[in-house]
Amino acid sequence: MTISDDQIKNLIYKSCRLLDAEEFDDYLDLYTEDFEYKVTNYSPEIKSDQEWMDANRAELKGLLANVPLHFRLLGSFMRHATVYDIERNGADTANALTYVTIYYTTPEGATSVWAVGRYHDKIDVSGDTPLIADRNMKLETREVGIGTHLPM
Amino acid sequence: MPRTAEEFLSPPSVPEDCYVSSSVYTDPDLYAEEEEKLLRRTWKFVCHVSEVPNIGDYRTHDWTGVPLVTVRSPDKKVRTFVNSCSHRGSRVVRYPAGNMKHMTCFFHLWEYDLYGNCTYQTRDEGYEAHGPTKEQAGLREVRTDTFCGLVFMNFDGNAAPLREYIGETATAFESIFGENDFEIFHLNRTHMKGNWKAWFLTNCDFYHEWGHQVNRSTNLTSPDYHDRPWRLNHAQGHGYTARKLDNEPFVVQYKNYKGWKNRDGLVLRGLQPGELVLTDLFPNTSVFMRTTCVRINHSTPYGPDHTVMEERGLGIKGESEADRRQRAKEFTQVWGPYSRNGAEDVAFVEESHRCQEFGANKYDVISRNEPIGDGLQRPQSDAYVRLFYDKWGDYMGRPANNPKNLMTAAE
Ligand code: FES
Ligand SMILES: [Fe+2]
Repeated sequence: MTISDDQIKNLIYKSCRLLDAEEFDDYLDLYTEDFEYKVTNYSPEIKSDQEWMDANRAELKGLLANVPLHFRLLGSFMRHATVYDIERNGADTANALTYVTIYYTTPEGATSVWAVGRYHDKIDVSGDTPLIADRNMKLETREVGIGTHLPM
Repeated sequence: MPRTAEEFLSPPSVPEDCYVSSSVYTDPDLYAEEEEKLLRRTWKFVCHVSEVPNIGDYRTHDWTGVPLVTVRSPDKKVRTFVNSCSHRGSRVVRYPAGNMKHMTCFFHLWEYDLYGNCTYQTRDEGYEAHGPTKEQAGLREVRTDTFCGLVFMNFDGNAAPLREYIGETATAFESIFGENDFEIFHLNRTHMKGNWKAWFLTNCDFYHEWGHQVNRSTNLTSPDYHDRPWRLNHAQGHGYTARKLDNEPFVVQYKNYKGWKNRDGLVLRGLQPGELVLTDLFPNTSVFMRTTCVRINHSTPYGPDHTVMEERGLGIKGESEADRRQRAKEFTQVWGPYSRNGAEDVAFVEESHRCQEFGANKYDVISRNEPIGDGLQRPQSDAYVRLFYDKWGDYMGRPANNPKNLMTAAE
């Protein structure tokens, strides 16, 4: 069965919703077994790209399991995403480009923009349902105040 | 038993060097005095040499409100100038980093060479009558020196040379920096609502490791965790912790954090697998070595309650892409805005500041005493924090526990 563009979009939007809700197990189920997850950006200070998070399944799983044990930023995130482009790479994979705005809401209810960036996803479309094979969240925003333990 | 109002407002019943007044974190007058008496008289970390490897490479930065540009001049020496045009004061270099042949002010197009000489004044015949001549219009050069690839600057022409200033504290990192050819791969900056000293002292306060899930699981589980002494440099106010008393390395058990492995590969020359070494240089530069990567941390204060923390990661120059990626991965597991510890440290500072700001916490208690033998103290002692405030008092001419005691001063 061919995976449609709508299925790919739904997968990406679901990844945003599950992360917003901190449903980490379901979130990880959206990825292939050997996925690579990165948060990157370009630093004009050092004139190069840099990685701010780089994790495979075991590492991301460990990290998300540890989240409740960490001293964390209080409040919540809301990801607003728009898939701009889907490109097929033969029958098995597709590349998707998604623009993402992440809003942060304090426990008192004040909302601000936390970060903007783009998901560069490689989607595995070889099975019955699409899965994220690689995600690179390329951030435009490099100043994020106290920071967070969560993937973006 | 809860404290009464009077008890709450009184200094804690500990020796005088074991607490500081919270006003050192919040008072605008004390901050202005710090700029003058301390921050402009000590060596300030600027960047790593790999940020300015070639002639014309520059970095812009600020210190005590003064915009600065640090550049590698044609004679290969790294120099720093006040980044303000001699004409009408505009900032001359505006980007954070780059390469330039000369500096051109965008306002009226005066030009400066990479030694800070003014080389061009637009329609210079207009200055014939009253000046200034080009010779009179050079940029202000600020003392700049390099040690172990770390570039520092100092506004004070009379301060001791950088090498002398760092003193024996170099023991902890000089050989490691000598054996490895480092290059920068990570930089992040974070604005925080808090004081620059509070940020620096978080780096020097090992007691706060209990606040980090990473440290709770990877450090505190180690039986010899408490056996590393602070090595204090009383003359300059620096400190470091490295080897244990028996000269064995202190090894972090990274595998105890779910999903992580021990750091056995890509070990920096001069370190053992898993080894952790930390150096804190007065007043606000920290050099951390976590087996595979180096973190250099300092901050730029813009007021008593506004600090920009800056964090750099160093790896090995010319290493393979795969090695660099692994090193960067291990760096950002612990440090950076999306790391385990980075997000926590900033919150520690901001949460304390929030209580100090309006007087809800009058005193900061720094009384921990953890002797380890030979007159040395364990990392969880406040020995370094006390040394820091002792030095602070020397520069400021005021005790940190009672910095604005007008009553006593009048007698
Ligand atoms: S202010 Fe720089 S040229 Fe006028
Ligand atoms: Fe910390």
